[in-house]
Amino acid sequence: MFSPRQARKTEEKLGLIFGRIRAIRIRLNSLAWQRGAFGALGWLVGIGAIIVLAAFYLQPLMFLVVGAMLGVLAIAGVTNSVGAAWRMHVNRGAAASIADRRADLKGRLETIIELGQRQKVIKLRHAPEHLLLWSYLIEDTLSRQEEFAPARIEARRVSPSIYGFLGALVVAVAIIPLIARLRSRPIPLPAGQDQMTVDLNDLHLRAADSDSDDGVEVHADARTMRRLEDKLAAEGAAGRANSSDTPMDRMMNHAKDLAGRLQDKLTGRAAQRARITLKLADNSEDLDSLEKRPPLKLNPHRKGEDADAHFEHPKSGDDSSSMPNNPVPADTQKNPVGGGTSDDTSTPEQRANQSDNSSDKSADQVSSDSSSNGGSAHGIGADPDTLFGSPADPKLGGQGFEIAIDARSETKGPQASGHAYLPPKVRTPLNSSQHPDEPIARASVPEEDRDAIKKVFER
Amino acid sequence: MSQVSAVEMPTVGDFARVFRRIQSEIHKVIVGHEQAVEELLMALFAGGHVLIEGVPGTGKTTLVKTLGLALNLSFNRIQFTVDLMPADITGTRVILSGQDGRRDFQFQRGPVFCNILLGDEINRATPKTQSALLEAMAELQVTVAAKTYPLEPPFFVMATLNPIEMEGTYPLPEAQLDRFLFKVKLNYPDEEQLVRIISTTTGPEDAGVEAAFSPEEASMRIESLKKLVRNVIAAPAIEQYAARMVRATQPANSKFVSDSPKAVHEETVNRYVMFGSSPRGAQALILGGKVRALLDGRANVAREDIEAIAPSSLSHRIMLNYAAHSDGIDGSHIVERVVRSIHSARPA
Repeated sequence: MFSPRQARKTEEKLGLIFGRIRAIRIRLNSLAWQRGAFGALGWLVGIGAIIVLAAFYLQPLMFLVVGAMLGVLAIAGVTNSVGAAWRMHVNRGAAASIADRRADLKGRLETIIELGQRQKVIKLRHAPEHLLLWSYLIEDTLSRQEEFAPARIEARRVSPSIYGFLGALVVAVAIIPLIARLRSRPIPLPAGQDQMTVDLNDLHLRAADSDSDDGVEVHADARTMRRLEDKLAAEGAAGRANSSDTPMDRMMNHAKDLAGRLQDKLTGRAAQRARITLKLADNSEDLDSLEKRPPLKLNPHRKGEDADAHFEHPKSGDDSSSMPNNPVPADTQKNPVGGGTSDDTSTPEQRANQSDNSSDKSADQVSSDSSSNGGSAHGIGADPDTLFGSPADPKLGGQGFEIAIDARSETKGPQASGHAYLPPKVRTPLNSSQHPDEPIARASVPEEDRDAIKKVFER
Repeated sequence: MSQVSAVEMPTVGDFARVFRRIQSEIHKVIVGHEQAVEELLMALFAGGHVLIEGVPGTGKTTLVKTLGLALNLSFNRIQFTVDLMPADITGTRVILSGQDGRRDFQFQRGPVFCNILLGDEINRATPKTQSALLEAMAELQVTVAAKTYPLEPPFFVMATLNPIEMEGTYPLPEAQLDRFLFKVKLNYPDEEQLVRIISTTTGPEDAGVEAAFSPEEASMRIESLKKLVRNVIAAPAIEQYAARMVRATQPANSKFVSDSPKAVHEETVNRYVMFGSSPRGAQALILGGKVRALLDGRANVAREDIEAIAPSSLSHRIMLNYAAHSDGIDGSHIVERVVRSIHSARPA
């Protein structure tokens, strides 16, 4: 049995060892939580950067799929990181065990921790006889305290998982200028074309496809707008009548809308919609009324109640919307999106041809900034036969393309004649020991034997 | 007051010093077999008995005799034969005439009444005779004619087995095998050791073995050292580790060796083991671990001690099936696999 003084000294030494183990535990747990935090942040930042980048490059539906997959990956990564941190988290006993192993203390600390708990219940001075070696164990362990200093047990203060986090951060930072460039990049025009001329009557308005590029703003004179609205109302009603939206289609459209809105938010494209300026070819309308007419905004991503394609009346007018009903010379009209000059190159003859095709004799000339091939006319639609004017129109002649098919007749092979391929016969001269493959000459039967042979065969 | 308390309690350092001294005295005669000698002494201080297995001529009997000399304890040898009777071991009651002329039954002590008993080729005796040792080994007492005679501590049995001459032998029953703390194997010496054996045993002089203790205090000193061994601290986690290891040798429990997902299901145990180790195996692990801890200057048992002592503590307690015999698997193979499995299941 220990004397009170002995017991007090032993308890003090025990306190020192416990303090060391506590410090080791704090350090190990700090690393564990750093592992969780850096790991989770790394996953979030990395995946977030990829999602933002994907928002610029992918179509809405593809973006939705990829985004969902990346989201699942991020959740799995974060869960894994937090789980790993939780598993690395140690209690006092585990900290002592780790210190034992790393300092090769052969279970001294673990034993002290385990029995130290018991000693709190059974005071050391009343320690049972079987714990005679207890004080020896404490003394022996304390003499090795340098070996289990926290810095020796775990030298690192910062978890190596910070490198993963920094890597993700670097990726995110590297993406920022790319994103900035993508945001400021003008929508490219098709090569060799900065304006299109179509007859308004040839336009077929159809349901907006949110899977395509951004919506457009349409600016036009009052009469053109009125006609557009009439046409929109008529074709919208017809479209509704013909519409065969299945639940799957509606769901897909909802998904596309959702993805499009998300992409708009991520990319900031909402404020960067393309504009189409409709020019009136006939200047019979009063110019003053055009000045008062606000521009229409065509948003393909939103379905309205009246029509599948939607025109919005922005509250504030745009300078570029105040269009003259006469074609404006190319050098005087700025393309609002492309930044290039709007060049109305339609000749009077062409306009006359277009007017002949339209039901309305005062056909308007529709000029587009053609922000993208099909994207600028988004939501409007057009009859491909007449959208670009007459085939002879030199302006639109370059819009078409040809696919040259190089075809030639095939005399060999099973596909050519429908029969199996037969190799050609090749005749080679016979050598001295070969004989021509000729049928054997029919044997002649003597006259007297013919009856007998005949009988044999008849029998 | 017991004899032990009369002797001052030795320290951890004393134990290691005495142990090494006895070891060096034995090695004056026994060349090589370092591990066998160490395990023999560990069993002595742990309070157990040892089964020594080895081919003839590897120094089994010499080893035991040398130990007796080094410890300065009473030593008896019994050559087990087929016709050996239990009374030849334990002793018997004979009619003796007293000084007054009266004749009376008196108990004549057998060779079992000693401190160190060598049972040479124990598997040559019948099971009945072999069983005569059971009570002495387990309870340190002998019962003859309904009267119990205590044995004087320390009592240490070393039995040898000859594994190659199996004709006319009686394999030790499992119950008796279980009573041996360790099974020690003596292999053939290597060339260098053989040369040393030749030079030390064929010369004119015998190697002089000095006793580590005086005859008066030998028993008390050894008992005090044995008590010190019992005082070594085994943390609950270490006891659990030993228990887990023993359970892993049992086919029904081998898959429950650990809660850790890293635990390896020991397929070998299920395939080859008929019966695993008994709880005595766990006791052997802890006691052996305690001796090893003292030898290392520690007052606590470590997992490394348990793992190191496992082959000699558990291999003879595992009963193998025919598949194991046909595949050439023995108990030490099984224990080795189990130790590896348990070790890998330790927390990282």
